[in-house]
Amino acid sequence: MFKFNHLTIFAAAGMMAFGLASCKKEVKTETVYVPVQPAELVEGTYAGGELGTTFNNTQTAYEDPTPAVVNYGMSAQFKYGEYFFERTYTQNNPPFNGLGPLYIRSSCIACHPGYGHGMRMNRYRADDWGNGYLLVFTDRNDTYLSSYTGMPQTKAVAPFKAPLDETKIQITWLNYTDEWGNRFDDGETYNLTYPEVTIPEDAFYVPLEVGGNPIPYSDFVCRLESTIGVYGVGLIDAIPDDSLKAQYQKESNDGYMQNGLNPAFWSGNDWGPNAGYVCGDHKHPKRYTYALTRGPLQDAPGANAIWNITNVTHPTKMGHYMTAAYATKASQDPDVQAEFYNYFPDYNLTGNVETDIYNYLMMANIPDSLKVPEMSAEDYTNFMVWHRGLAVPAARNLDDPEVQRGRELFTQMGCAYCHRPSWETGDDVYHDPAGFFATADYRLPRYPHQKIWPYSDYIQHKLHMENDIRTGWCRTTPLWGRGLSAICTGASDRLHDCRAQTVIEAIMWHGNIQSDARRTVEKFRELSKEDRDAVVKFIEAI
Amino acid sequence: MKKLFKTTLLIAFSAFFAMSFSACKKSKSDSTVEPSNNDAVKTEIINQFLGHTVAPTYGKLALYSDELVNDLEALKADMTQANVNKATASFLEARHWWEMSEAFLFGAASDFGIDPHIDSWPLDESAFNTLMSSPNMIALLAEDEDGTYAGDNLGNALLGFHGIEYILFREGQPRPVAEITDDYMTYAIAVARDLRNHCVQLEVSWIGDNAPAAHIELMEELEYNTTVNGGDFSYSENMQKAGQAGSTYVTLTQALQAIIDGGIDISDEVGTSKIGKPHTGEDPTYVESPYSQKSITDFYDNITSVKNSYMGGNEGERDENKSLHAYVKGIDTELDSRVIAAIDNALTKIRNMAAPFVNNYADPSAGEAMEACQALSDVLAEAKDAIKDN
Repeated sequence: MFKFNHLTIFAAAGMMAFGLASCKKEVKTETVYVPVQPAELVEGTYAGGELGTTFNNTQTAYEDPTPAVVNYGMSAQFKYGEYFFERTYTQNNPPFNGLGPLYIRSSCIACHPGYGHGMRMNRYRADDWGNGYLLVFTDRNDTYLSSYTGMPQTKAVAPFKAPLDETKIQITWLNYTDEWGNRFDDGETYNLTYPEVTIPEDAFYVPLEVGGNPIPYSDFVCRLESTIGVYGVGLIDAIPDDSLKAQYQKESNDGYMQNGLNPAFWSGNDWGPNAGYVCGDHKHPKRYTYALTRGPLQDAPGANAIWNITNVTHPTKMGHYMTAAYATKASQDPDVQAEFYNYFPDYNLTGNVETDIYNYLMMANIPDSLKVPEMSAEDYTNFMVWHRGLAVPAARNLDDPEVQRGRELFTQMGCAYCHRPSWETGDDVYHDPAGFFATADYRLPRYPHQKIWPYSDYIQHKLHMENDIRTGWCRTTPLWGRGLSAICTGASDRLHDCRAQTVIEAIMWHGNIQSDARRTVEKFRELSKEDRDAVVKFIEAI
Repeated sequence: MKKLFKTTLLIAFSAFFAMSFSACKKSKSDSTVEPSNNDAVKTEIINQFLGHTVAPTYGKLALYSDELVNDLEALKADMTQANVNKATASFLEARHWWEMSEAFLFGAASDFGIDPHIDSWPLDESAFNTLMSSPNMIALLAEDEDGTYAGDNLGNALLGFHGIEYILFREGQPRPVAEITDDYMTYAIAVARDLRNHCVQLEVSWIGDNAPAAHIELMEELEYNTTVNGGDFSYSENMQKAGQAGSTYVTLTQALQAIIDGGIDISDEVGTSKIGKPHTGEDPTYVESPYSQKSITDFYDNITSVKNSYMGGNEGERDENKSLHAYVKGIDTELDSRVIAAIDNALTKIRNMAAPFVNNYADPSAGEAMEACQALSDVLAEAKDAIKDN
């Protein structure tokens, strides 16, 4: 089937070429996937390779299916899967049912406006449009709280209470002045601001605990981490494991990073203890999220978020995203006890309301008859077709002389060292650690042997920013497609907590004396305004 | 989401043959527009779109959403069937203009999240029942004079058109007044005020200073953002200044493409999702307006919205000489003819659907409408591509 499909498509392409040879009108490639000769375009234009790029540059540029989706005949599944990203979930009304008992957002798109990066916010409300912030709760040693989920929830359905009262969260934007006085030598200035989050002690419903032990409120730390765009993630999954390893080896050998490499991921000349994501009897190097927590896409942020953001169960995730500390607290809460059986009569299993609440929340000792996934296997499959099938917008204006000058400087200054421009995908024999999809399962689109241009090395580095990201280690964020953010999402805030509102601000947040990018920022400061603008224009073009 | 690529090879082949026999024709008639790098022409088309499609559509939406609030307040004060009927009429009028705007969901409707805020479905009935059994929440909604408490606290699954639809309609008819409790009305009014706020936000965001003074004042009172990326431009100015500093549109052509893209997006949505998902999956839970049973009207209005965007204005204030239709015709007459034929075919096939959709989603007429809308999306994608170098 696969082979036939491709042969037929190429036959169609050939016929189109033949048919059009007799006149001068340009072929309309939208009608079917036709491999266009890259030689005609500046290299790097096909950001997602020929199988993963869309040439749409208007408001829906982040939302298109890849040519691979079309080639595989998956367009309808893609569109059906998109529903589960875009739509608001309800508690019990199909087709978007299953919300709660606790949740972080009621839809995926709430955190990825226009499928892109989250927006800078002045307050934390789960329902505020564009709020892509996740709260990060730790103690002063960067250890996550055990009593709150890794992505803390601020919403609950009746009769439950939210783990914390989000209306009491304060986000304050503070000014920062760098050692150059936020000023280039030619007089141009820039603003640097960063968020400080405070939450009063009475906002917490669940006690603050680390490793199951209480911590004093004074040891509590909260940071913000914003979502990034979701387009192109299937292509990242297709980067071969050994290519990632070679990149670590190269950076280790070069020794350019004053902070070295995170020992959890690279040790000596081999993987570190935390680098591998378990998949059956083997491991794959982690490549997704700022903290590098996830490996293969089929068990990466999107596959998890459809479950843990909304708490909608599906065939591979039948439990609740929940802590035992919350379940204990709620099960002993007289208000919850008084109402629980009214809302959940099927869970009156022992006659002991505390036990029944705890078991419901933890999905423990529940009869199989109640373990029905809220999202069906078919819907989850469609969702993953959509997720793995999102195209990357083509780079724009790479033949513009100013953009080309910016590209040259981007490389010369060393930006391209961590924001590695291109990768070659492998056979894309993809894996699913959750076991729902077989290896290289025919049900999802694949991207074998493509040259892709994400502008990331997929390795963590340190920038030493004020109120830095947890641990200070942050995976290099891909830059592809970001120039279309304003038109696709209505905003173009950058960096992990949206502290930068322009490209210049984002660059200058790399400039701390201890930052791995320090020397590059020093070089950037030496550029004329014209050259700085060219670098910005290049970053907006890719 | 839009779909740039055809889904079946059969269609691809058909398109190929159609193109190969017609692609060389570049006939021009008097009513066509000379497109070659003519910024003035492009600006005129954009201005016509903004002034005669976007502005009147959002103007009416804001007007009728305000009327809906008034009618619901009148109903709560005097619970009669006549007042229920009056409120349902203004609801349907507001709904009509919202659906007539869905070919331009880009801009304010997307950037401010207004589409999911006022048009999420299905209604979360469990959350609704919880709300109705919470005297504290009802009291807070009763005090919610400007709708902001509802907007901030109910969540998208209880807000918007479908919440009000749930109160006012059953099985396609205005609900018997005896079934509508005072708490229901408290909820409906708070939701309608929030709906009004966001319809006015759409109007002011696009029209800017030309919006009614009272509406501009409301936005200032509520401190709603009504400019592009928090800057100085209204959404109309942003499009008019395409290609200039400060606009998110790099070129005037990109702005024209954005208008077509809006049409691609909604016609694909109507075909593949709104009609296609219930039809092909035989699943009525995907039907969007089950209480008022106005789904087919919604679909028709959506495609009319595409027509208004393409043809140079809403009915009664259309100028085809300043339209994408004329512009595309100047590049490829045959392509323009196919776009117009596809619009008309989609409208006809939707009109011919067996009603109500919630009871007839499996009918073959739904399948025909689905395919007609998908075909419209595909031919619009060709039109978007055809203007890219002009």
